[in-house]
Amino acid sequence: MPEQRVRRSGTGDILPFANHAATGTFTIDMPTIDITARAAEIVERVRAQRSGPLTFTIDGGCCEGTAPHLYEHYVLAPGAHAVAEVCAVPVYMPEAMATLYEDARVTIDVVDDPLSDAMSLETEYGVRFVLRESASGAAE
Amino acid sequence: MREFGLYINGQWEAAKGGKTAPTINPATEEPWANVAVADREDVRKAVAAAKKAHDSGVWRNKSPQERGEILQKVAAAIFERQDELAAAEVQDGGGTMRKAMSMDVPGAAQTFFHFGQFIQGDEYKAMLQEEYDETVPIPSHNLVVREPIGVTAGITPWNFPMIMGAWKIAPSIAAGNTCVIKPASVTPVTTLMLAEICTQAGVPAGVVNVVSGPGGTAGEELATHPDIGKVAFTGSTEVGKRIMQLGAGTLKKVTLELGGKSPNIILPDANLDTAALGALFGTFMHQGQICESGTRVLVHESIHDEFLEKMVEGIKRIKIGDTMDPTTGMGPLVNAQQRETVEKYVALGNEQGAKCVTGGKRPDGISKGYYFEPTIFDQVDNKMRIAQEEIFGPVVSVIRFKDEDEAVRIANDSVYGLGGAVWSANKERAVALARRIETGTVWVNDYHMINLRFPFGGYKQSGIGRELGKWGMAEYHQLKHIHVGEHTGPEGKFYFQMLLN
Repeated sequence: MPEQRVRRSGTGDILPFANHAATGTFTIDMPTIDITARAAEIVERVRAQRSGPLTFTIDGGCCEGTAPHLYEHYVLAPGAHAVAEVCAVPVYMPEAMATLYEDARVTIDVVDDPLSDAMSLETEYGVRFVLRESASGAAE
Repeated sequence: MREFGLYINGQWEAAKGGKTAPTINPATEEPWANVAVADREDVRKAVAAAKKAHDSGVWRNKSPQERGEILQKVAAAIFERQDELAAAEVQDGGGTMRKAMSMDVPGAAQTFFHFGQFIQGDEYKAMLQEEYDETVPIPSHNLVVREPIGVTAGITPWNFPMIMGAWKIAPSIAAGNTCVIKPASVTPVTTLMLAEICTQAGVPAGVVNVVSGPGGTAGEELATHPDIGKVAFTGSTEVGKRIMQLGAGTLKKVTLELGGKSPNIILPDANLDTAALGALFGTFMHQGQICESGTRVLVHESIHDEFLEKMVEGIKRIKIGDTMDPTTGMGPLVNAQQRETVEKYVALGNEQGAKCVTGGKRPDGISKGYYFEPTIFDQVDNKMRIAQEEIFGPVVSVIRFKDEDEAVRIANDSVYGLGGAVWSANKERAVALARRIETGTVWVNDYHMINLRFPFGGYKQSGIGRELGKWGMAEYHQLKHIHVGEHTGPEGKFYFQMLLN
């Protein structure tokens, strides 16, 4: 039977998120994701320049490290579910990563990086989103 | 300070917008060269040059013999400039001089030599054209031929700039394509030099173009440009996914070589001295910044303590220091961001209950450079984040197993599937185990042995497609079936009656 997943947002409010037609409900832990003021400003700047729907996706590996990527018109994998929402932009993580990051508190921040090779939209302004992590339980 | 432009149509060009950026030496944290930064217009210019060179036939109409000769000349030219190339590679990427002289330069040269020789041989001839006679439903003669794609794009990472550049250039142009390469922005220099070397060795203008620029502009332009038929990318999983999405709009062929968390399995009958050094080589070579690094060492519980001791002893043989010094084995990480990432995962490992047996910090006595000590975590559970996420640094997780079934289960419990290894005195047993591991490469009694003759690539989230070998070469071609039917009157085509009375 499909369940309704309930997620915690950065503000602490519980927002319903139905990924199938919901009948029963239960709460599962999702990673807690916040955003710094400076990073939020960059998201707004990107939003002003783009017309399509924006998506944050966090995935790992290799040269870019585990980092947030901001895209326009991103194609979501069928298994993807938003683990949070920041600046009204949904944040996606692949299933396996969402489980790994269940107890994590992470913050999307931004750093100067004029040469980033990520295809994330903020790189146009010579900056790059990064993921900051605090020890579990501590606020960022 | 040295200056490098973009390399388009056989010559050095400044970026149209005049933009340049310094490239930093990770060992000194100082800039050592200024490199032009390409924007979309520069990339379009490079693609136009590549397309013109392809359409003119100046390269594709040469016989494989001729192209092969020129590629072999490129290899020789690389060796002629090896000191300059090695020094540039070390200063750009933070690898050691030892790595540059024994891996990067020969690796790049051998790539051109190998594919230059391959296309001159009978195996390639057979790949280019196969012929079959058919009798069903009526007699026909059939040709299956391979042709070049046209213009290919290569986007490369910062860990092996020269070798990755060679992997994206040599097989492409060996097949008769022309190409545009975008190297990693933090390590653009040696790829740019390779393009110049190609011209010097006789590759016609426009066949090899190199544009250094950021991913969001230069990279995106290559992934979406309608005149590019194939994109070959080596780098992080997320960027790979995006490139595949962007390529979909124009149905590009895409090969992706992405991340890994490769299992290195030590069976109880292995030579533990060799396997322990193999585990160090597999994890700490180039400071762990290799996609197929054996970052999870799976060791049988009966030999665990002895094996771990040998690994820790072996670390004493790794000298960290000045990258230009030929006795140095480990240099710095490529930039501050990468070191921060490593430090984050080390903290996580400690937090999640793994035991840091050695390393886990910056080396004492080194004041400049993004250095980090080789780090071993023991008592790691495969579910811990340090065992699941790619760290891309000198950190290895040691995990115990009871029997082969458990080793296989742990090895395959990863989203990645790039490389892996099995160490055992019993080769048959090791190969049987290798067949059960879900990775694109498995080394038995070895690590990092990539061979230009054999395919390299990933299962699962480690990528799609293969590079190297005849399989990699095939991916730089298109297939065409030519059916030659008999020239008869209408009565010879009885199947037309499906439509016609």
